[in-house]
Amino acid sequence: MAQVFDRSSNALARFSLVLSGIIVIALGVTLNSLQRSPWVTRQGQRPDQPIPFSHKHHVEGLGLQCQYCHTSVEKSSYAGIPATKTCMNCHSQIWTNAQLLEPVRQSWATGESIQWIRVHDLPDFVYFNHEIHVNKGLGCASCHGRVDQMPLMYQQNTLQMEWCLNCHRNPGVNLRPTSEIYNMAWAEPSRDKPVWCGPTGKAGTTAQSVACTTEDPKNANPEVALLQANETVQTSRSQPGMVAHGAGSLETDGAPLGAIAMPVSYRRFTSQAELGTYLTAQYHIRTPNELASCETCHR
Amino acid sequence: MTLRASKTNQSKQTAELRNSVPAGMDEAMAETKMRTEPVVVTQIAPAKAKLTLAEVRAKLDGQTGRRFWKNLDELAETESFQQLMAEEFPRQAGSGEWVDAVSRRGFLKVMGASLALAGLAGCTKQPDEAIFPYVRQPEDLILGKPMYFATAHPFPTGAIPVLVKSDAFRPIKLEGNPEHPVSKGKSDAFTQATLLELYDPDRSQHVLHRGEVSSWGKFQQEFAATAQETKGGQGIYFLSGTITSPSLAAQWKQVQQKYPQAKLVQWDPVNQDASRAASKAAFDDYRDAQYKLEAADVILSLDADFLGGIAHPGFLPLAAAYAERHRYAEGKTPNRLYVIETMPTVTGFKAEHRLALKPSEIGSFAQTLASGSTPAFAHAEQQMFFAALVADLKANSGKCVVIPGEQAPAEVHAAAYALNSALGAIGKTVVYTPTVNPLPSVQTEELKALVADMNAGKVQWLVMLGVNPLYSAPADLNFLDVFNKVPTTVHLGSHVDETGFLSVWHLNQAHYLESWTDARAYDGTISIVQPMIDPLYQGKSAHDVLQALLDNPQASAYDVVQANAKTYIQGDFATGWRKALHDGWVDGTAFSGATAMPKVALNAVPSVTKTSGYEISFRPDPSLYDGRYANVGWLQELPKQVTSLSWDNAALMSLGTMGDLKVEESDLVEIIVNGRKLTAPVLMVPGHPDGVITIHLGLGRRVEAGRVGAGVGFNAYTLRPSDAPLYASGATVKKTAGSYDLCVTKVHNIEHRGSFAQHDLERPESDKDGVYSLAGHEAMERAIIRYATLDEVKKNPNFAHEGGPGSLVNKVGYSPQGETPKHEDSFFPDAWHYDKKDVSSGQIQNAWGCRST
Repeated sequence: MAQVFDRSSNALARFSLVLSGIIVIALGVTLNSLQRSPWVTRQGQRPDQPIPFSHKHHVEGLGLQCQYCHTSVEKSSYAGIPATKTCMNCHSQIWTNAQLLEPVRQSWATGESIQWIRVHDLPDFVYFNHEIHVNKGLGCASCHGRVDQMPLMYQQNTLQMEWCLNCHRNPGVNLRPTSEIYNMAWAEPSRDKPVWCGPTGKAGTTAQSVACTTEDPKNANPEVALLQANETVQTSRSQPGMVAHGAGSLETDGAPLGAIAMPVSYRRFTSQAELGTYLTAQYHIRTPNELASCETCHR
Repeated sequence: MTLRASKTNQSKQTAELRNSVPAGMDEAMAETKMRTEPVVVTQIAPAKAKLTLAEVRAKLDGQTGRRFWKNLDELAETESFQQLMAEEFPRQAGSGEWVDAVSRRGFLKVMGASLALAGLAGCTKQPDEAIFPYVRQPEDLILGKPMYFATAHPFPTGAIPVLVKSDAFRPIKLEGNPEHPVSKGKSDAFTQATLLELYDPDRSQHVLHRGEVSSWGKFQQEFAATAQETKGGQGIYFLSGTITSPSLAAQWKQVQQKYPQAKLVQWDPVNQDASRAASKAAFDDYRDAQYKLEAADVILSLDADFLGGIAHPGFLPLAAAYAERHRYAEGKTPNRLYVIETMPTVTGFKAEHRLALKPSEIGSFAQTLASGSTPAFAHAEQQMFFAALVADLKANSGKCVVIPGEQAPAEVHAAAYALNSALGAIGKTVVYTPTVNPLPSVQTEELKALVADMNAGKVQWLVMLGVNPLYSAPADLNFLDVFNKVPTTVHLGSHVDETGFLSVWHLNQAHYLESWTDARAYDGTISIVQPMIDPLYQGKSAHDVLQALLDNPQASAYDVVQANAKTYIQGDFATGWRKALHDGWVDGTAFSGATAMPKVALNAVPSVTKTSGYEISFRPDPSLYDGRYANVGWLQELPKQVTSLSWDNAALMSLGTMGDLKVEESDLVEIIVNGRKLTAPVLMVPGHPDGVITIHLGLGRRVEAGRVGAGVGFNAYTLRPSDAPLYASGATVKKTAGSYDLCVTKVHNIEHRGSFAQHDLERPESDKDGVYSLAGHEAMERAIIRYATLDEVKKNPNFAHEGGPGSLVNKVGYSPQGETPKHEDSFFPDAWHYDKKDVSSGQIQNAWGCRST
């Protein structure tokens, strides 16, 4: 009986072994990149909304503050989607006949909700709370990106677990003074643009115990610096037209006048690493160990 | 919720258990409802070799002293008990499914697929999700933060004021109203579970007319039109549950003015008839008793389970006051509780002195006590108890109180009046006030009169408001027969239940969390019951039904309640109304402290009649009450007080009775009362008197009860005579073929698991690997529950802390140097102050009836 396989089959067999190894690896690589692809994560996708609402126009153009619409971002886990009434506050006066706004008027007339498509959609088994992030020095832009430059809303980041953990393992890199939370253009401190921070001596929520400014307090009128420190409202106007009065809503329980005599000892920060370490301590941010523990997000 | 055996698998078994249901009707109903019912397949593996009575006796023989045990198996340390524990703690056992290679492999094989799929689920692309924002957002709503609203849970024995946690205006949790003078932030199992009742998917969703979907408007028109044609409402009968709402009572008075011939019968299967009859005799008027246990040094409970739940009026304030006086503190004398009861209850367990008597004996015991005559008891033990009790009560005149149970016969109540009067308790530890319910009556008598009228054909319209007589009416009234003689029957109910299914009209009732009404709490304080949510199924309330007959049928329950509130809200009405809704009660509506004095005229003490046969004591179920909560899964799976039975009821009896009947636990017995038969499984209850069997009402609901409650347990109403609704004498009980496995939650106790987990291990001096549980170790070194008698505590007030952290060195589970863990090493760094748990001052001392599922 003749040989069924000739000698060249040996090479083929070896090659197919290698090939199947490659296929397995390729499959793994493909699945991995598929899982991280925007097709799955929806990063950067702009879903078809009933109204092509432009954050760029309303925030950058008109200077609306984030909280005008997202009212409960400081108070609740849920930032809040504005009621039709919020739209109608202005649009009963301006653009009253715009075709684009027909769904708003429809909703107002019928009492039916406008059906938005959720852009930032965490799985239901993830517990996320806006309140704690915003009040502990994490700016809107850190997660949502430059919303003021998005004509149509999209998801800047993957919102995957690795992305969450990146920050939870090292929260310092993203911390900023609570007064700068709503500042879309906030840049981390550098030698050219340092940040000065100092304790206010106030009790109460952690955010009130520290005041920061982007203007050198030594150059300013010392009284002003003191007042600023006392008011805890330190706003930077790095971008004209931007409203950044986030901390303006914090209560101002005026320290006794005697205490003002103590000049606030400001520290100068020229890098995010320094500022992050300082704010982590001031805002009582938990240790990476606690933050990255499962039950923080999966309750 | 899965312990329930499937209907199809079990139908034979349940038919056996519910033998008195007319078979044809049952089957017809089963067919109509069965198709939509999902089949829950849950076979409970039959228990392995059961401990027999003889074995228990042998084990118990010669054992005395303080030992805590939770069931007979554990007590006797049987092999099967060790096996049960071994399955939970495989590491120690060296066998069982987890260590057994084959079984473990099989398990992983089966689970592997699910685990792999579970992992994949995390990788799928999320579907688009819509956001529906408000059109006009309510002003004070912060989405994501709950809001709290005050209302009250109307219950026949008095409303429980609650504070409802509401998320985006959906009620999600009920707790007692912390500012209310009665509940002080506390609530009970029934109240908590009414939340699940609200969301019960089996609730009736439509108005039905002869089984077809109809509308409320049609009913309203037909009802009003027929009523107008009658002569002053002749032939119109209302059969209502106990009316708790002053507004509903006022509305009824209006109906009566317009239709003087219309009749109202209030009836609940579990009611306060004994107390009503006794108070009518003693005061010429119906009276409720309000006990002030904070002033009582000595308490005598005559079958009153006042620590067991809201089935006893005033449970919350009574339990709070009792606990406060019972809490041990230096220089304070704790109160003393005597309990005379049949079925062991948590109150009996808390008692310093407990005497178990048959229901018939409790009456004569109480009357002997009241008359001061010399008793003639059979047992020396009873004699001793009696003498000590009399001496203690006399020594504490004016500082003691006698509490009769609502399910104790009228003579017990009469004796309690006499005793409280003689001991100077009235005005000090008890006051007799007008009743919490606005229209008190002796309900069983009224029901009998109604049945007579129905039988005579006088009833044209029978409007049933929130009652289910076809399930729960006493068996000898043959309610179904007379029901069929009524041309038009109307049923207002939350479910199309046994009664709703056969009624001409069924009206879907709004839950109390969906409707406006009002109710009085134990001290008489009126609460406005306000809706937490729009009725899920456009349900109606009794207010709407009565209003249909009045001049303004379109007035809503809100209008009715508000109009009536003007009679009891003082001052500016608009302000007062808002304040009442906000606070949860109306200021100044509590009964005044004034008390009525009973006429004490005791009949001659009846000689203890020796009854032949067994006594059957009918009690509301500790978890399901009269059956109204049968479809609430939380309450079904809640292990019942004392017995730890869940998803079932049983013929509860003592070891002695079991010996008499020659039965073991889980055997079936046939109970015959006046010719009516019932088959029930046997469960032993330590502390139960001999010669009497307690059975709980409220189970054995038919298929109409809903997916949860149908076919669970047996229906004791089929045995209950109308002339002796509390207990029946002269019953015959005999063993019958077959057995039935009861679901008794046995040993879910941390101490237990801990001690088992460690019991066969070597205990090294230190635990470097951290594999030994502190709990387990503590259980071996010193019990987690630490106890001492009052004298011992006085000698050593720190007894509970002995052997605690810091005092044991070089022991497993403790730091080598005997230090408490460092802050960062601790599992609960801030929330847990172990050393500050002040056990010795009675934290645990006053925990009773704790149950969780």
